Parts: sequence; structure tokens; C-alpha cells
Amino acid sequence: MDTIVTIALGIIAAYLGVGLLFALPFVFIGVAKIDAPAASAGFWFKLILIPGSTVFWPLLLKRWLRGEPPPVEHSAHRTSAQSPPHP
Amino acid sequence: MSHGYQLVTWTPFKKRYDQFLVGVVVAGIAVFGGVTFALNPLANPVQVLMRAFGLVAIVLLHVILAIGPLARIDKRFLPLLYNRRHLGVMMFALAFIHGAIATFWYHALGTLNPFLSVFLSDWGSHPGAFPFQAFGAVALMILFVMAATSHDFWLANLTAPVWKSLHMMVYVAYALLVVHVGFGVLQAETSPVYLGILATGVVILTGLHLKAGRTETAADASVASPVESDGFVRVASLADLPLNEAVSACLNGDRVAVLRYEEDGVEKLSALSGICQHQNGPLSEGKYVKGCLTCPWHGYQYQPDTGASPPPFTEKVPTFRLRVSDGDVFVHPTPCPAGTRVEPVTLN
Repeated sequence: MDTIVTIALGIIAAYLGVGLLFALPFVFIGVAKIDAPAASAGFWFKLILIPGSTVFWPLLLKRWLRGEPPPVEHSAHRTSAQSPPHP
Repeated sequence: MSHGYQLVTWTPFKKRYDQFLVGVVVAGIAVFGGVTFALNPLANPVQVLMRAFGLVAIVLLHVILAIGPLARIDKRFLPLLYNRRHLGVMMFALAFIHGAIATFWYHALGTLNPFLSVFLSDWGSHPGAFPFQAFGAVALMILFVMAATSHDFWLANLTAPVWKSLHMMVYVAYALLVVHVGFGVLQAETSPVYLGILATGVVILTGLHLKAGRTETAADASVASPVESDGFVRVASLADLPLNEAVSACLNGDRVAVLRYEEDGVEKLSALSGICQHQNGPLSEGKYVKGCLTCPWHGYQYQPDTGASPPPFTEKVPTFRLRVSDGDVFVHPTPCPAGTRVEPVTLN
């Protein structure tokens, strides 16, 4: 049990460590590339993005590299939507 | 609504809500500490403080989990739901302080890494020992992820369905915390009072969720109607539609908001997707306010004919074609792309 817990916590710590290294440049530079309204947001707003960016860094890094805007949600109605027939 | 981000979009209501919340938390900690020292003047102050934070956090978690079903059962509880995220972040902060005190007090002074010690110290420490601290630690990790993603930025960037699924993990955290508190209390207390209170909380929450679930299932099932030859489906009688208040109909796998509203003295009828783009709230239970269908959860607004939020906001939901025949309202179940204008039916 000791070994399993030690390895698991080590992996989590390494993941979050990399995430923290990523989060600092992301919240002050990268966030504007993936979500335009965030560019003009204040310092404290950007600061509170650090914990979440530390957790979701692989997703955010991919979007930063590709310059992707926020995704559109998938729902039953959005997926099945069709343009209405012309009257 | 999402037009630029702020740390917190303060309103007078939010300020009052948060002031009240802080007052309740301080009072809760003070009352627990006062009662504990009154009953046991030799109690360890650090342990009392740790338990006080933990107790207030678990009570707040029960309140948070009760607000959702209560708001579905009775709309008078909706104002509580409006600011629920602040409750959640506050609850995480209290739980974090509880965990930090426990880690420092019980684990920081040994030779083992304190974080490893939290997970390992209960295993086999004595006959019948249960690793209740590990359960609490995992629950705290889940609550951390939820608190870290509580801002609307994360709703926009993860999308509402993903964000909502992530935040449904609160139920996993709750189950872990019931075990954590239950076994933690068993190790420290001989009185059945605490376990009784915890069991009561579990029963009340379970009952509220079952009641709310039954109410919603019945509402969704009540609109199943045969498809007409032109593909439209009857959803309601026109006489049953209240003015300026949406009615929900379940079509094409989700709820549709059917809205009878008065614009410039003319009564009209529109239909749009009943799922708010923000947090996927119940737009189909919304009201027509200032020219828009308004979500009851957080006030996000959509123009009934286009499904789009008024400028400069950018949210939009799918719209539906509809017609009225012989006093009945029919909606075509195939949605139009989000933001597509559909000519409203004029009623007079």
C-alpha cells in the first residue's frame, strides 16, 4: 500500500508541478489567445485562473498552441439543428 | 452574461448574500467552540478549531446540495441558487483549513512526508482502524477542482455540459465525506449524536433529490404527443400557456421553452431550446423580462424570436418553428441552429 500511495501522490505532484509552471505564463499571455474577452480582464481575474489552469493544463496548452477559441457545447438540440426550410 | 470577465460581478444582492454567509460561518465556528469548551474545558484548542471548520464545512455542503432540489420543488428557493457558487468556494475554503490544520497537527511532526502520512497512517494503526483521512483527502481534491473552475471563464472554455459533469463530482465528494465524517466521529466520539445528525442529513438530501427527480420526470413525460403529418408535435393548449412565462415541453431529447409573450401590445408565441447556455439552467422555466426570456438561475437572457442574447452579449440557443391550430400549439421537433430567427406566431 505504501508504494502505491507514494507513486500515486508522486504522479499527482509531478502533474500539478508542470501545470503550475504552465499556468503562470498562460494566465498572463496565453489566455488572451484562446478567449478574447480575457485579454482585457484585470490582474485578480487572471490570478484566480491559476489553480484551474494548473489542473487543466494539457487541454489549455493544446488550445493555446492551436489558437482555438472557446468550444461550442454539444447538446441534443445543437447537434440535431438544421436550417429551416425557406417559406 | 459573458461580455468581458471580472473577478466577481458584484450586485447588492450578492454582497448581502456573502455578508450573511460569512456571519453564519463565524457564528457556527464560535458556537461549536463555545459549546465544546463549556462541556469540556480541557479540550485541545487546535482540535476544537479543526473540528469547528470541518463541521461548518459539512453543514454548508448539505445546504449546497439541498438548494438544487429545493429550487426545483419550490421556486421560492431560487434566490439561494443564484449565488450558490460563492457558497461552494466558501465551503471548500473551510474544508481546506480543516484539512490543513489536521495535516499539520497530526502529520507534520513525524518522519514521514505529511501528505503520505495522511493516506497511510490509518492503515493497520490499530485493530478496526479505517483510513478515514484518505477519504477526506480525496474529497478535498475533488472540491479543489470544483472551486478552481467555479468562474464563468471555465464554463465558457469547458462548455456547460462538461463543466456541469465535472461539478456533479460533488456527489462523489459528498459520499467520501460521509465516510470520512462517519468513521472519524466513530474514532473520536462515544456519543451517537453526531452520527445521528449525519444520518439525518443523508436521509433529508436523498429524499429531496428523489422528490425533485420525480417532479421533473413527470413533467417531461406529460408532453409526449403523436407527430402530425407535417412533422409538428402538439405541446400544449393555447389556453394553458400563461402570459410572459415559459412552459416546458420535452422534444428531440431536451426541453423546449414555449413562450407566450406580449411585445408592443401584441401577443406572440415563440419556442426556443429550454437549456440555458450558461450552466445549462432551466430556461424553459424562465419568464419574459424586458423583451427577453430570462433564465431563472442566473438571469441570462435570450430574445424569443432569435434565441440570441441582446448585444453585446454573445450567448445563443437553438430556436423552433411553431404554429397554432384550433387552439392548440404545435412545435416542429427539429431545432433551427442557435441564433436563427424564427418568425413568432402573432396571436391577436
